[in-house]
Amino acid sequence: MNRCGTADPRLAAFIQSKPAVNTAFDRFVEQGVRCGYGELGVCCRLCSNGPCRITPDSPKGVCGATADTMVARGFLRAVAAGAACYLHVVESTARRLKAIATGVSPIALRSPESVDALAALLGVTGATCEKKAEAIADAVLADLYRPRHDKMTLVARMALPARVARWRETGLLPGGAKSEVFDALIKTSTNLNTDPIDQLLHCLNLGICTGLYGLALTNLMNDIIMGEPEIGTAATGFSVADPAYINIGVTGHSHSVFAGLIAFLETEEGQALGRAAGAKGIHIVGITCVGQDMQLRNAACGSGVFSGQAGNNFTQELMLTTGAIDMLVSEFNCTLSGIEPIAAEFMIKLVCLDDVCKQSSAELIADTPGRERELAKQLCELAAESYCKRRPLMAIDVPQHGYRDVVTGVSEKSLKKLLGGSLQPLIDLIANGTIHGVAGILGCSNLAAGGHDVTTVALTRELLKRDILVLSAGCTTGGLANCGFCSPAAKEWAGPGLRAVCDKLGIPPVLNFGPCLAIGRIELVAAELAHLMGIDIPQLPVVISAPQWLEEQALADGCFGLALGLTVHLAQPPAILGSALITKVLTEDLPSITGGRVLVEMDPVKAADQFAAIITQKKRALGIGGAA
Amino acid sequence: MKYVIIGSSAAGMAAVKAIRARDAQGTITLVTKDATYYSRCQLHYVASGHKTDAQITLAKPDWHTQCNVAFHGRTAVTALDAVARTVTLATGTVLPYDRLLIASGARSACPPIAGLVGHNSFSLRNIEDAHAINHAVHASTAVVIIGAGLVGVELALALAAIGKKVTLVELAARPLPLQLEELAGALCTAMLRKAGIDVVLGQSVAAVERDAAGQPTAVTLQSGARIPTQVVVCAAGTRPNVDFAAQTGLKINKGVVVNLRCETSLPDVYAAGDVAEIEDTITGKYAMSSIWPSAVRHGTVAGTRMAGGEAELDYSTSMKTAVSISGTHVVSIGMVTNPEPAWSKHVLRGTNSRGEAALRILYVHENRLMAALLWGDVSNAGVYTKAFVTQCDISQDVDFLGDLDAAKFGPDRVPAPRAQQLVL
Amino acid sequence: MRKKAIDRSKCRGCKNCELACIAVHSAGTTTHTAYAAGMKTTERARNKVECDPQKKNFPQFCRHCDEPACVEACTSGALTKGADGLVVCDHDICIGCYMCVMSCPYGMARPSVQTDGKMIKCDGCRGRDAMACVAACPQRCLTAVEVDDPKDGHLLYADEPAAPNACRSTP
Repeated sequence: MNRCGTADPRLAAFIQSKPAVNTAFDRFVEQGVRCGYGELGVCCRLCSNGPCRITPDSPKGVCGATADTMVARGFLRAVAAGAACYLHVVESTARRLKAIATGVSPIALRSPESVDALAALLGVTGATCEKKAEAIADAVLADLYRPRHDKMTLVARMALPARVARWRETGLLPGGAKSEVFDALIKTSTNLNTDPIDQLLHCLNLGICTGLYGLALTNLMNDIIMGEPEIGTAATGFSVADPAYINIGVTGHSHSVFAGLIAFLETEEGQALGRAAGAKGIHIVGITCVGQDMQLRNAACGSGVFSGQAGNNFTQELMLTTGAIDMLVSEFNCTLSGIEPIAAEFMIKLVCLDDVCKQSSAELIADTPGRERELAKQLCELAAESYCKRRPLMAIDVPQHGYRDVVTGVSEKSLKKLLGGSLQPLIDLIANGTIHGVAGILGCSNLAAGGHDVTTVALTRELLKRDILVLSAGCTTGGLANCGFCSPAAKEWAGPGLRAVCDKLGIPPVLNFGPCLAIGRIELVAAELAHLMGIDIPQLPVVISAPQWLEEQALADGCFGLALGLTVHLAQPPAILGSALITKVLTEDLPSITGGRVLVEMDPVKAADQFAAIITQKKRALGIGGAA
Repeated sequence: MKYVIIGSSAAGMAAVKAIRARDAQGTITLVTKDATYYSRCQLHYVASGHKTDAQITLAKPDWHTQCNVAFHGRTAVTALDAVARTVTLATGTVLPYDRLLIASGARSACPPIAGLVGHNSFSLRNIEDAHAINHAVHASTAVVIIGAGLVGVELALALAAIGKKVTLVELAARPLPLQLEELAGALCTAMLRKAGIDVVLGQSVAAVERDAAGQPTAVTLQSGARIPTQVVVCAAGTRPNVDFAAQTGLKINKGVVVNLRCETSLPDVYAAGDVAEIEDTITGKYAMSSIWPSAVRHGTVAGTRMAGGEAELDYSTSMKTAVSISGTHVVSIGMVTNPEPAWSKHVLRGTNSRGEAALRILYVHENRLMAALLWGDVSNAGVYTKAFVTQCDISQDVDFLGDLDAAKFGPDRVPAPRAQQLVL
Repeated sequence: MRKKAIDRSKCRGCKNCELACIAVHSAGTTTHTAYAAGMKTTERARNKVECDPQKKNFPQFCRHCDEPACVEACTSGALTKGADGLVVCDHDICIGCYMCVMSCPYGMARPSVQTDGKMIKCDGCRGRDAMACVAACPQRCLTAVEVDDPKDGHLLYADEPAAPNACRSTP
């Protein structure tokens, strides 16, 4: 009956104080010893002759599949699912952009000035801002819906030319993204594709779909709809929930889905609904990546309405037990099943806006472009109703948790602005040895790698000691922020060189890019750095890490990193170790294909040393960085 | 070889078995106040009527024929002559012995309460008591039980389950004061009250009021409070049955003092079970042994040695109990109720995916488990017992104290058995 | 006399042994029906796959000890050691006092998760043609061995020193 630990001491104290609540932290321990076949990826349930496992006595499945085939199939199916998730997000964002541009949706674009830049990037035009925006949306959707044999056209516009050339050579250029996902499902079904290498390459193809469309384009379209990120300071942690307000918690990945609700809450009419219920008004409390996006764009959107980011994915069950959340609205993951009994006990209304994230006790109110105002009003009325019903019966227990001085709003654009209009100063700092290099600490939070955010925090600390600047996006960032890493005082944990940079620029040593979608932004930064240095991405003195990756989306992200030619570190291996071939290709052979490589290392000190060594090697090859 | 055994409950019967495993020829004479061998841990079920005598009987009626034992049931022992090596029975019979086992158990020992002795006032140590209580409660609704130890609590729950209005009076601040600390004590009190039992804590009984016919009418507390009742059960302590051994040179403290071989101070005389006082190898002090598993263990060691075999207790402690309170299981190991200030207390609470609440309170000192209380899910309780009795190093397990498992306890984790014994 | 031989180095943690145990003791006795009534009424396994401090898998089974602490502790007479060496609990007699759970140093006298609260333990698949866990192991980590002597318990771990099956720290 132990519970899984967490790197966040105030969260740990809060968990201790809630013995009657069963959360992921309990169930992690209850699940006990995990199935070794599952961990290795060598079990297969595809057909009725199974389920098969690879064992010394039975080294092939009934159909003849070897461990390599089983592992590759499982991996491709997972990457396809992960890619599909992100593609759903970019598709819905593009559809909303189009609805706004064509006047179907009454939402106003917060950053019309960003339309020109994106239109130019994508090579589309229009007579007016709205026409350009529509053209952008159409171009994105057209690519997503292409048949498989029809290569997507925006890839060449979004990626570094050297990368596109490499992908062309290695046959990685994707056709229509949804078709790529569709065919991946076919490949991984019974007795179809049994070529592990073909399947692995398809994973990289899906990675490109994920990275350029699901990540980068979603961010760029969201910037138009919801506003450009601006560097600023925000509060994070459970303390952001003010019980004097009606609090709507949000989970998901699509900032633009909340465009209508945020706009409505910025009006007197919206807040009046809250006051009529006896509260001071209505606030939105962020949980998971959509909250990180709201935090990112808080200057442009939702100021005064968005209380702050409470915490990352695995904090959501506990956040609900504070009693301060009156309603939870989700439009995507991560929305844990575990919240249902908790929501029932704490009388929290559950609403989902998309059936892809339907919980059995949640009310599905489909988000339809054009009905944003009606939806917003309905959500506020439901929240007020929940508030009135539950508050007289509920105790509020919002702990002291989080930080008030978290630096947020970092994007590829705002970072450039901070550095004086170009990323060159960052290159100079690496070249002159002030900082050793750059690492991306990205992706999810999980419980398995040492505990909740434990490896993430330990690894980040080791990197900062070694003067490595950390760019972070995703639930990792939510965890790091709640442990103080995105606050100015975190410079205490940095080595002298990095610390000096923090002092000079007034930044913490960990730059908070926001949601996991912003992994795409960090990759845009990488592309920009490579462009400035006149090199290709594999040559960059950069390592990316998803230390506590959780799910299929993370694997799809990771495959983009590999396609880009980056070293991708994972603390825990994915379910591939059962195949010597797949393991070897990913960890040793891939550099000769894309330049990328998977690095598996659980120990944070060893991992940090390896990052530092890899960066040194890259710098040496570039002839920069001095004796380091 | 003439074996004489006094007492036919857990210890005595275990000794019979151990002797016969080694010696099929020697004569075994068993003297006991009981008529049959039954589970003394289930007397409350007979008192409430949930179980019949037959259902708690542990040996077939002809067991003594099968084991070739001369059985003197319903017979008391009146004297022991250590020099002549004889035991005198109430019937006048004098039994010579080569080896003697005193396993005469303990009787109820109530504090001197005015009016306590009399009609409809009982204790619960043997099946006759259970019958008497069962008969008395048929005609009455109210019962006052003095003492919320194991016997009192189990009887209270059994009688409440048949609809009796039970009041449980306890001197300490919580029920099961020898097993539970404050947190668990509060949970227990709540559960008892939920079962309809009126729990009165921190109070002692001043008197039992009786009417002209001598029937109890009420129990009055020191505080002056008055609880109407028709039946009184005193479950407030025990005293070992050793009156027959006075002035024999047998060393008796609170009970018959024995070493870890169950040897008393008299040659060829052994003691085991509730009558015995034995070294607690954890505390290094002598203590009464009062639980069923210890009685069986000690009886087995005594019987083995009496029959010439090698046997010795590596560890001995009475500080372990398992009890079920309205379906919630509790295991208490070590001095949970009176920890040393130096011990660090770890309180682990959680709710599992089945919705069941669990509590584990663990006291650790210098990387050894000093005491443990498991409430709710008592899985692996035996592993905690092992960690406790062996006092092995649990420094590897401090992060998983809530889930100690035998997989972690290899042979190298258990220290060598104790070489020295306390002097008798 | 059949016993279990266990080679821990082969255990993959698949827990097929646990599932087979659940199945064979369930109403339908097969894995197909083991979960049919839902988790509220499915009894837990009598064995458990754990891992040791070196993180090596450690499938644990009742050792049917020569001097069973559970039998010694049993206050109702439900637990007995038979002539076949197996220690078995008669659930009709068991009163759920859990003295056995408190006494088994291997944690193999287990609380039932069902509401009747009796104890559960391995019954050696007495009366069945094969031991369910052994039959279910895909790794040949568990195998059945025939020996003449019912002594020295029921389990033969390949990597444990002599006399592993006594309940006392010294035999």
